[in-house]
Amino acid sequence: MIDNKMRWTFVVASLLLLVFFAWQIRKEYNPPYLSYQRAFKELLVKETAGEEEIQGFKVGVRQRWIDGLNRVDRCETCHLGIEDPRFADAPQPFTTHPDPDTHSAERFGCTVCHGGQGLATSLEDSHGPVENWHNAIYHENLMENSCSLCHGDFIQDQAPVLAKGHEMFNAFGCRGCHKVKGTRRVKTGPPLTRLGEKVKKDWLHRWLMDSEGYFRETKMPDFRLANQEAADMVAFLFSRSKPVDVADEITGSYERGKRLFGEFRCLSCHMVEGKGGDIGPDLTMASSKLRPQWLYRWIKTPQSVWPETRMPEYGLLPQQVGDIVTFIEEEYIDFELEEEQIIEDLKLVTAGDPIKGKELITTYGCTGCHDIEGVEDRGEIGPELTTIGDIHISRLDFGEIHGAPENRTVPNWLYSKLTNPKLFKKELKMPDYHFSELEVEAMTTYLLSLRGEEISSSYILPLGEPPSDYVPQGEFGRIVRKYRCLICHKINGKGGEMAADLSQEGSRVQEVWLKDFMRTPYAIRPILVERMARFNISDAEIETINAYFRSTLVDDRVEGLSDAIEKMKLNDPDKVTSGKDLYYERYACHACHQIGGEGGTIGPDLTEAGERLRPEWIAYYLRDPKAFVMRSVEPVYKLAEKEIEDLTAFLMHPKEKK
Amino acid sequence: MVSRKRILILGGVFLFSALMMLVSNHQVLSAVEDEEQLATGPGDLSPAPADEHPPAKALLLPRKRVSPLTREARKGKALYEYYCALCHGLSGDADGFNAYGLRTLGTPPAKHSDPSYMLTLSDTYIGDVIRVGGRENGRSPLMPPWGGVLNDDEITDLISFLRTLAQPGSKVGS
Repeated sequence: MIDNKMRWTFVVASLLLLVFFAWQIRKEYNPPYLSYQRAFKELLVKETAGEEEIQGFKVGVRQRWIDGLNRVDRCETCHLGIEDPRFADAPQPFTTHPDPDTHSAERFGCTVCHGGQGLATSLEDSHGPVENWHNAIYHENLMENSCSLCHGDFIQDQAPVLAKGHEMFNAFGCRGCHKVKGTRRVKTGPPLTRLGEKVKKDWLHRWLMDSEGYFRETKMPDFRLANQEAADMVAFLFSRSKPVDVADEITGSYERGKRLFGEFRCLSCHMVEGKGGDIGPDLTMASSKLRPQWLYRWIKTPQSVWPETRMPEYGLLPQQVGDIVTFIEEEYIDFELEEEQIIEDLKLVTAGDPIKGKELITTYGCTGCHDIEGVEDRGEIGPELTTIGDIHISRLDFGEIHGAPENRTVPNWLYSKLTNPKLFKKELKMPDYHFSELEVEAMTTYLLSLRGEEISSSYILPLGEPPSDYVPQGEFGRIVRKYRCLICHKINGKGGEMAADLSQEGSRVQEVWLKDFMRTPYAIRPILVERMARFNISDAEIETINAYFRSTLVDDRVEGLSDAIEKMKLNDPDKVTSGKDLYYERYACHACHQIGGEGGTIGPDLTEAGERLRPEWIAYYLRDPKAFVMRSVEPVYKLAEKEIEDLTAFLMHPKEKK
Repeated sequence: MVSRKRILILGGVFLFSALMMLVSNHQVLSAVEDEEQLATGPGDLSPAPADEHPPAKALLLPRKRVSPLTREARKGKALYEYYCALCHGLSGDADGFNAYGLRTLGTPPAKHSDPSYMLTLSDTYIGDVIRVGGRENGRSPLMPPWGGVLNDDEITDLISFLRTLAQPGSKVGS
């Protein structure tokens, strides 16, 4: 009997084992991707693919080995339609890739841009993150980080988020505390030496507590200081200042100051009550911050106070400076500031402990952005970010935050940290920049692009314009620095966007006009709010500028037209008349340009074109409007040579002014 | 006796394995269903939404941006804002900053947000006006030709955005 029982148990056990074995084999032959491949085959039938194609569809793993990028991608095992335009509207995972031409799967694979695990063959593993495989697919808002691998960081047009992040990284002075190999550390804040001469004590306390309350667009971050901490810091910063020389009383006229404030176009750079530029600080409540004696010295010779400032030297007369200071003092008042608040702030600050203040300044790394007298600059105090983009997740401290495992990724850590720098631990030193959602995304995207990854040189294709290293030399260079021309104007790729690019200015404008304009600038574009400030610029300086423009900032393509222009007989009245017809009737140029106050306001006013522009320039520009400014909104008309001649004749012909 | 038992055992084994196969098949099928749901849902490849911790203690995650516009229309929107909105306005209300200038010249820009007007125009016709300008189409010469600036794909993108401006309740341009 026992024998019999044993036999039965043995039979059942072996059979179970056999079944289990069979089941495992079956499972092996039914990998998770198989269902997708079957579904895809059905789609093929629906798409009325040829019998041959359906028969030819082979079940199995599809793998691409992209040697130059060190990638092995099996994504196409499920994403079967990415190269087939018939599946543009098919559901995922079969949808056609939207950009199959420039980034073909054959040359690039998938994970080099999208992230994720190329080798995995199941949904969870490939899209990640899973244990031991931490590289999840990039969130689409952060995906531009991958562009930098081949195309560099300056891709304005194709990767605007990445480019914005890069710009922000520099603008917010991140480099002051974080090392990124290959980039230079720049201090973005003003030096804090002799601060007691510059600002009011009570203001500095309020500023440290809530900088955005004074200047909403400021780049000064929020350190979330306690009242006492801020007071200690102020006490230290003021302890280093020499006593203020109160002997010089500033005198001036409010009315004259107001006129000068407008004439010198202060609003082009400074914001006042929501209007104005963002190059300099907001002046809406300037009198609550600045000491008039300092303001006087500043407006008179800003560059001797802070050599790196963006403020130009206006060459103002002492009386003019006095007038402007008087105007600012009387006009730009913090109306919401209560007297009690000032007393309260002063009381706190007076009781502040300078020794503790110095410690705090050292701890928080204020020297990352500011030169501070009496505080040693210890260099970058934050972690190096050279390869933060491919840091291993285990090296990031999530602190008290226990997010769901699928959320514990490098991008999400960076995103969270930038949104709330003290999220993982209250004691962390990084201040809060109060970035908006879009700004956090841009910064995260840029940080993710900082990788140590090396790829084959055949994949390198820089896009966008890397920063120009143009530095004007000699006397011209001195003038450009003195008037800070490159804050608004661009020359040879270096400079601001606010005003015209001057790289071909010598070919564009006439000498007489240029000299007159330098003395009394005006707005060439009718609707422009910001226009060029009037500098007290000397004749010798104007001569230097003109000589440099005419000799260096020229374009041979334009200069080469001189002979042709001479032969054109631009004074021929017939040409002028038919040019006028073309201007008003055939091409309706007045839709965008004004002559004598009539017409649209998109392009520059052309009333004075004959005095301002050189005929060579007009002719060249009409032939190829995108030659110098790629993104100009000028339509391309493909004009005939005769039309170009007539239009040039008409534009050069003197016109009645309004 | 023995043979009957054997038949029973074999039958049991067959039944059991058939059951197993069904189960494993079902797993595969349900995987397909899950995936289809993913595909027709928001298509979000990003990790799951933030967990239910109090806000200060949770990871902060990037949010998927939802746009009522198609990919083409989104590309068209960027072009529209750059080239067209100067006159036609960001929402197609003919109120761009140059619209005033055009009115003083006699012809206000076309109003792309007006459905009754837009319905009278075919895509081909709109494409033609964009490409060769108003004059060649018997309309205002103040509308310049953009064929030298925009290629055919870009013009198609532009039209697909332009069409959204006249749809009621889809003020995406503003």
